[in-house]
Amino acid sequence: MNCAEFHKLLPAMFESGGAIEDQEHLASCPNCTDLVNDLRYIADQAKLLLPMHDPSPRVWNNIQASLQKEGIGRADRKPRLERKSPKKKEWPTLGWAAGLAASLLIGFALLNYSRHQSEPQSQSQSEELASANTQNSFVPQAPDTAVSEKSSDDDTQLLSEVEHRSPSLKSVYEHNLHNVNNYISEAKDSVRLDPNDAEARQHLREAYAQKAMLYEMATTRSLE
Amino acid sequence: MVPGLTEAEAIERAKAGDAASFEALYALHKRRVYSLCLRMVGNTAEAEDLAQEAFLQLFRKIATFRGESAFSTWLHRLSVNVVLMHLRKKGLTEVSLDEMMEPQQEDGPKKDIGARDNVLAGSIDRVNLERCIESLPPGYRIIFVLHDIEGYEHNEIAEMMGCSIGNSKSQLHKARMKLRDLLRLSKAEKAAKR
Amino acid sequence: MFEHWKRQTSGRHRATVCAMLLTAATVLSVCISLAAETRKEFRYTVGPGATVSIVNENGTVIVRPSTSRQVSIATILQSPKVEVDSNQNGNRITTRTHVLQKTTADQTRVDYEVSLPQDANVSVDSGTGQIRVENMQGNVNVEADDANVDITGATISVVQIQSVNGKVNISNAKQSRVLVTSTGGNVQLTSVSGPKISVKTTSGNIVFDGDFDGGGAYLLMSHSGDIDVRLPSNASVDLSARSVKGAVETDFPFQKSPHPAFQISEGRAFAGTSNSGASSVELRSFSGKIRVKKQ
Repeated sequence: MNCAEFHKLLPAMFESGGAIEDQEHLASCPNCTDLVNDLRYIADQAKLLLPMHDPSPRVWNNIQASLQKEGIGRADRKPRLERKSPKKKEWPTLGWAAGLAASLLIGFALLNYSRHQSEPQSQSQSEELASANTQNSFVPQAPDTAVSEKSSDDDTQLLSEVEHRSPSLKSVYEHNLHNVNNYISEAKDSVRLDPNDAEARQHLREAYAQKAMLYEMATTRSLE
Repeated sequence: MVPGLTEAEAIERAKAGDAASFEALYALHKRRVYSLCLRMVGNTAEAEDLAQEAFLQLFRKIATFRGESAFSTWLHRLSVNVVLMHLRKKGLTEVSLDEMMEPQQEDGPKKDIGARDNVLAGSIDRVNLERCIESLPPGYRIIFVLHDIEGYEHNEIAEMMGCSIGNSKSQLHKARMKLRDLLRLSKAEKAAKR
Repeated sequence: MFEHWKRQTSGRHRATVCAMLLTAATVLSVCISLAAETRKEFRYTVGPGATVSIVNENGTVIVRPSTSRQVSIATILQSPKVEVDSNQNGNRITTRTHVLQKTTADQTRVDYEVSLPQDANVSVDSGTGQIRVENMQGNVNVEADDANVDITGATISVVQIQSVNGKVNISNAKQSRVLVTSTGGNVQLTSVSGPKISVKTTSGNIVFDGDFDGGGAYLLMSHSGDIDVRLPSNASVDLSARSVKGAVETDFPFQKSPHPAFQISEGRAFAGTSNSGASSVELRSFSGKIRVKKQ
């Protein structure tokens, strides 16, 4: 065996875990012996590398800010989470991944909704709300607009991820995302019409759960 | 960790949305997650963004953690996926596949034949090794980090990268070869300075 | 006359030649496709309660029970641009299709035929194609983007299905917990009963044909999809139906009752009991129609 042939077989020898040192070629080739030793040495040294670096404090600050923005974290939304809901008991027992993601989103949605109801409104918000009430329309108000813009960006990103994985599925997801967004929008309107309608809330939760499922299936499947 | 809480308790509380437990879990795992991101992308700003994204995904998904694997394994896998997704968006994993399909001249045997006094054994220090890993082309770096540092098996890497097991093995070998070149070069440069 | 005969003959000749060419082309294309096709089979032995996961992008996945402790996974790959990896880790087997390079949908197709012990848990994750799981007693977990899903004969198991767009059919599932979430695909349940049955869709229609047996909790819920329920007169249910914007119709002889969560409204919402009302049935739609008919 010459060096070129030995090099060709080397990856397989390493992966098989056998004793490469026993190869006849090495007895007569110091260069290849060095190569084998070096590669072993590199692999061994790599195993000893420990996680040594800490992220800067701004990473946690950003995480915390995002969590608060999304309504995740009990400290600032506890009263909303404890609101009695007829279907609440189902979620933990179902164990659906989407259920969780949805419940987080729902918390956010309910939080937004409640803020409209309970927080002192700025003048412009009051005007918007007054205008919406006068016209008997339920156009999402300022915070919802921000949410829907964010949601639209996320949708675009999701669709590009789906397209990357499987171009033919993009239209499938696009169509279904559109339907789910309609569901969310109509359910939100319904909750606004009658905040005490437990069924409307159930639809809103379900709409978010459906969206969470689409996100989870599109992203998790392509990665895990 | 929140005083008096075990990791398992913190996980359970985090599932219920407890903010303090999120922070405790972050404190416990931030170093490992960030180091992984940093090694995979070789850039601190990007690594911080990715660590942030990994933890955000963790907290969004934590209630789906059913304890079938260790929490750290789950988080680690999630972090790897976040990084791979990011690299995929940048098109770097495609580059890596191309790299492996077309053997490069510099990976061939000719390059490996060098002076015998340039053997590596005993000469690598951690900082130097980290620096050379950082200089690897992205495709090589990812496989090397996942296999040799993080201890993933080829079938797991193939699954995560969407490539074949054979490709993963072949790319790992090339990564080690390339790393050897970099380390030898670095060693020679050091010797020349003396 | 002669010219006419000649034209006819030449026409027939052309037709014969065309037919022969067509046949030859068909035979050739079949031969080419067969040549590109590769078969790969994996065999494992597992203990009770094993889990077998199949991850496929495109193709048919058929899962059937075997009579032994053996798991057999037979695959047919349509091109060298895909490969299948399979590995066993204790009682867990994972088999996955890898698409090695971007190519046409036909070339990414891999068909699976899996046989496994009846008590095993099975998980199928597929992009497009067809998934069929027959007569299993372990948990069945299916995630599909645009694949049609057909589950039949599941007993004493948990059937969980998440689907984006494909049709979902579940039949003859007894004493099972069945949880289906489908965004756009229609869902049909025939003779399905158990302690917990839940079907949720956005635009997909839901059809339930059965007796809601077993004193379980049944929830069928949609956004714009219609919900059709056909139940026999001996069904023992406590049923409520409400569509926020759509119509609710029934010809079933329920004994009407009030509902704690909403007001009964003609054509939009009703609640009623049949026989002893053993099972709880909730039908909810946002803008779809709900129809409850007698079988």
